Amino acid sequence: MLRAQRLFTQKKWISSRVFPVKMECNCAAYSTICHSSGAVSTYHLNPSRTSYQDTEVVSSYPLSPFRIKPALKRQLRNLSLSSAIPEPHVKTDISTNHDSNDTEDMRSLYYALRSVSTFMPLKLIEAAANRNKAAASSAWRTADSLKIYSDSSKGGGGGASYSRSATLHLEYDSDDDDYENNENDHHHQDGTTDHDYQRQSTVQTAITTSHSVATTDDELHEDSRISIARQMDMAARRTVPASMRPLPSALEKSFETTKTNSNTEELNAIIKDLEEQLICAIRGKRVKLSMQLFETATVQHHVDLDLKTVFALYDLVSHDIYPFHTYQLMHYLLRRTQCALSLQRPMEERQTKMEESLQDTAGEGDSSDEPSDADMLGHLFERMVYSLRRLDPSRHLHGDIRSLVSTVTSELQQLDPGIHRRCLPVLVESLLIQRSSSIGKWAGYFYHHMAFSKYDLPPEYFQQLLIHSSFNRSQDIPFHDALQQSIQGGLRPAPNVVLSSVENMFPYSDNIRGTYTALQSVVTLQQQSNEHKAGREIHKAEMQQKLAGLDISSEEAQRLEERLREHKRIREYIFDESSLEYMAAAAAKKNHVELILLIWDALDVMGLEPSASLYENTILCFAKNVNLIENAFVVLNDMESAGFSPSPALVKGAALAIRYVNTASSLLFLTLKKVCLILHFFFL
Amino acid sequence: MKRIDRNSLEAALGLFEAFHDKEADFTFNTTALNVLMSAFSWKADVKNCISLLDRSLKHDLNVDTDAFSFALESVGKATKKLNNNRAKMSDYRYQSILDEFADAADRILTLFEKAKDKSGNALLPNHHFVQNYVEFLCSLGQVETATLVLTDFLAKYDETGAKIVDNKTLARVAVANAEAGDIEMARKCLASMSESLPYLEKKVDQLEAATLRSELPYSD
Repeated sequence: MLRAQRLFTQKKWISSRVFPVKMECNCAAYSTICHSSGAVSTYHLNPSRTSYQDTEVVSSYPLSPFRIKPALKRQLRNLSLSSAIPEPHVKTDISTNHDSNDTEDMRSLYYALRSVSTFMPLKLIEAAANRNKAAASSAWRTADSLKIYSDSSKGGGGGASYSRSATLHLEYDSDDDDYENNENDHHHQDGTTDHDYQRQSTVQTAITTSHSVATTDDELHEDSRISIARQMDMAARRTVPASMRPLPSALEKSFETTKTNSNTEELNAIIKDLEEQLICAIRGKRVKLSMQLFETATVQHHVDLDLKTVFALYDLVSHDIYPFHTYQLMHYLLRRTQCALSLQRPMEERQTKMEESLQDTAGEGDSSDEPSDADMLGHLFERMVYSLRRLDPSRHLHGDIRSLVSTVTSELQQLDPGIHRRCLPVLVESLLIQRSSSIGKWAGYFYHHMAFSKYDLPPEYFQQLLIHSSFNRSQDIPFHDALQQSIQGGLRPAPNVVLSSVENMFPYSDNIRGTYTALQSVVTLQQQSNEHKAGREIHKAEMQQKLAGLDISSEEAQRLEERLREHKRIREYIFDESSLEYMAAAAAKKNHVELILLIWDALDVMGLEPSASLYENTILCFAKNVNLIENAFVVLNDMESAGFSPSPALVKGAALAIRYVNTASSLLFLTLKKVCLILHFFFL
Repeated sequence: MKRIDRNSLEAALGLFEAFHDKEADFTFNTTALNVLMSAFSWKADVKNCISLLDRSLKHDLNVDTDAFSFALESVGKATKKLNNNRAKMSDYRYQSILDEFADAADRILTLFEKAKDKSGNALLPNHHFVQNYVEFLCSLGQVETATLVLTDFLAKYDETGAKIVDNKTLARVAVANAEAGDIEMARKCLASMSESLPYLEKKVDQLEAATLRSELPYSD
């Protein structure tokens, strides 16, 4: 069906930490999702692995939604090619070659990158690393001067070994409004200070890349390298925002210790620190930072985080603008909670297990606090489908949106009906809210499925759906049915919601039955309003009589007046006449007599006067029905008596409607005529 | 389900008859009559048109000029149909039917002269009426009569102040005259139009050239 689904059915298992669940997926599908989430993946350079599918995903970083500019992409390609010429053991640090073209490239690249985003260095590393180790080293140096701080790895390993490790400290790209708001706060609710946040923002991620570059002649170019790096660093300090400035020296030291990788205690301390920072970031509702810390902890350091923390992160991320992160987290949680295994079982087995678990919980009473697999799955998928409402074609690629939604819905379809009952209403609402119109049409399928399965949904839900009605997406779900359901449930939605949802159905000729149902609902609402109004008048008269007849105190009089004022707020559901005229035109076009009659009822209920257009459309509609010719002439008579002069167009139109023969015998005649024509051509 | 064997037009005619038999609950007004006349004129049903006019006038129903123009339109369309089927019928039959149509048109004009409006005044022709009448005359081959009608009404105005002879009528008479060989009259008609139509002038030129070619002694 879709690209992602095609890839998912290839039954290739991905052994990834970020995409940890053993599901039917491959790297291509994952990269699609990662890419659309604004993330770029970096890969371990393992010479034993040759194919793309075997490459292990190491990390992904949130990136700017903007794509690489073509010119810049060309530069990257040239750079990686030029850096790929020397052998791995040869020094290829571009920052040391003053006169080389690479240096010029890197300088120009630096200024270009500075104007784009901080994700570019990562792309650079990825591009270079795909060529060879030397190119990776060159890219590394560039990234070093571009606020991706390394430990310089002066000592390095041998030329033949691939043991050199470096740690990158990525700057925090504070493009999220929430973050900026948090940055401006001096004191936060959880008691953390600005210093904590600054630290979190600067200590974003630590990537450990395994690569080796021969550093035999490092010392020769040390001075020149330092000078150029200093110049670029100064330029960066002048131009790069404060959040991208270098780390404090204390923090740099702490990460330098990780490079050695010898002292596990220090590493554990850093990991613990990461966990604390993650909790702090979640409390501060800093989504992007939390995701980066989560990935650092899980992907780089293979830490099994506390499930409560991850669940809190999941709930936080589900409100974020990147539902792709939610998808990653959901599968991480599925793996950790062993719920993924239940997904792989056949449906019957799952149902039996669920029944067993239900029986167990019934026997134990309320003693078991741990939720069952069904509850867990239901919760996870509910949050996932909830997060789909943040999909936006202006932020994400359309194909990626389509892939994500199709993947989630196909996974959802494998689940139990109980989870469907929990998730489908949320899914329908999410699909309705998200901004892609082509994806929004899928909401209708699930809405009809819910109606067919007779889900017991509250009327408030339908009222909520009505709020999301829009003109260009009025076909997403049957809004007339939602309106009817909400009214049948005893609700009286706000007039602006009701009237706009009905007016969004224009042109009504596309959905004439739906228009009839919607107008019927509006007429019912207005009739109720009229009844309330009549009751209010009676009540008001009675109260005024009481007030006049009784000698009461001023306080009591005020109270009675307030009660009278309460009655004033009666919701009126009155269409403008042009909408009714358009409906009448659609009814005349489609020959829907019931709708015309309902429009005349609506005119009475809403207290409107019929216009010439309404008369004309009524005449035309009646003239098309053999049994209603008399009514057409009656309406024509009424029209003239109401002071409207029939136009020549009406006379011609009515004559046209009458002279077209619309009886059974005429249809038979036309059919025979067509058959004769076909036979004639056949014999010719 | 009851099968309906009659069409809408027959049903409408039945209503008209019911109205005149005073069985209907509504008034069959002028617009309703025009609707029926328009429907019958589209079908080139001359008999029904004249019958409706007769009965309407007999029962003092207000009949306006449009009803008569619809009746003339029906006659014109019927004549056109007859001309199209000219090859399929004998001269005698063709001529007899043509005479019938001429009588029908004569009757319509007689009824028009007798008819009066609500205030008792005689009905005045409008541009639809003249256009349909000229069209009928041209279809009948009475080009000279059509030209006479045109010249009679050329400088006249209807009740609303609009010209009775419009460009469409002038163009029809011009082409008919050019086809009949009276190029001078055709050019006069074209000159009387409010705007010049090059394709009509070209057509008249072509017809003139064809006439001249046919008059040459060595022509085929």
